[in-house]
Amino acid sequence: MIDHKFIGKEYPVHVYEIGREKMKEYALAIDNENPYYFDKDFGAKTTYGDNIAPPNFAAVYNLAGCADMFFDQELKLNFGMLVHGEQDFEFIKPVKPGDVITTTGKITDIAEKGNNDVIKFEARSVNQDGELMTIGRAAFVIRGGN
Amino acid sequence: MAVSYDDVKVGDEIPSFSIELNQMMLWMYSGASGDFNPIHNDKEFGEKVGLGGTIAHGLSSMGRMQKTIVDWIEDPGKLKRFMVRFNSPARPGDTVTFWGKVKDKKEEDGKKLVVLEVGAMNQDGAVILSKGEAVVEL
Repeated sequence: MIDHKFIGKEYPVHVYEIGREKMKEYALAIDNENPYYFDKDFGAKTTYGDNIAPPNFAAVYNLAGCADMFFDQELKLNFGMLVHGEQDFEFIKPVKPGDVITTTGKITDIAEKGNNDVIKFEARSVNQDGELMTIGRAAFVIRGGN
Repeated sequence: MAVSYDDVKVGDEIPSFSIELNQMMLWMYSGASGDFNPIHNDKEFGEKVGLGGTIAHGLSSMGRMQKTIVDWIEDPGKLKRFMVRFNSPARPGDTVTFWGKVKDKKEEDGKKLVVLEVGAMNQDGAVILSKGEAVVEL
């Protein structure tokens, strides 16, 4: 069981600069070739004025704060028994190469479900102009309880 | 031609996508995402913790689900909301099929939105992604 006192705990700000090659590497790893990600000339002619990252590249810049929670020495999650249960992304604006994304994360819920513990995490990402780009909401399951 | 709001009907299916997974794809996803949890990368570790070997990252299945949606809408920036439940793990050797169908269409604040029900299953019919929903602006 995870102590419910950790609900609301916030994790340090993560700053991540979107790299053109990194977002292409991510797109390839999910078999997602698309001129919006890959073709610089094509990207320049779109309404975005450049290539954009695959929406789910949020798994990299938005969920970064989860690592802090996974290895939080106060929380002591059993990482070997942890699996990702649910994921919800709101994509407010597409991110582009060179964007500097700042993400803050916090624990929004802790619950027991049968033999498992469930911990929920919300991360909000803003760009260099302070515009909200992405909200990620994740639920992680500790199989057999923590 | 990109799909248009007026042409979309509730109940329409989007083209599905199937792919056979192998361990190299799991390693590639680890490298691309930075998620090196040994349950995805180390078969012996996966066996030791009761998973029967390595399992694919849930987010890689979500990523391939995203690919399936984006192949339909073409412009990835039109994907506005996307949620899934990681119902059961996909494994190397599995052939996973990603599907989607139109659940609703609505105009909100001048935006033309299409809601898709989406999901994924393996070759045995085991559900990999459930309770999936995507909102796209057309």
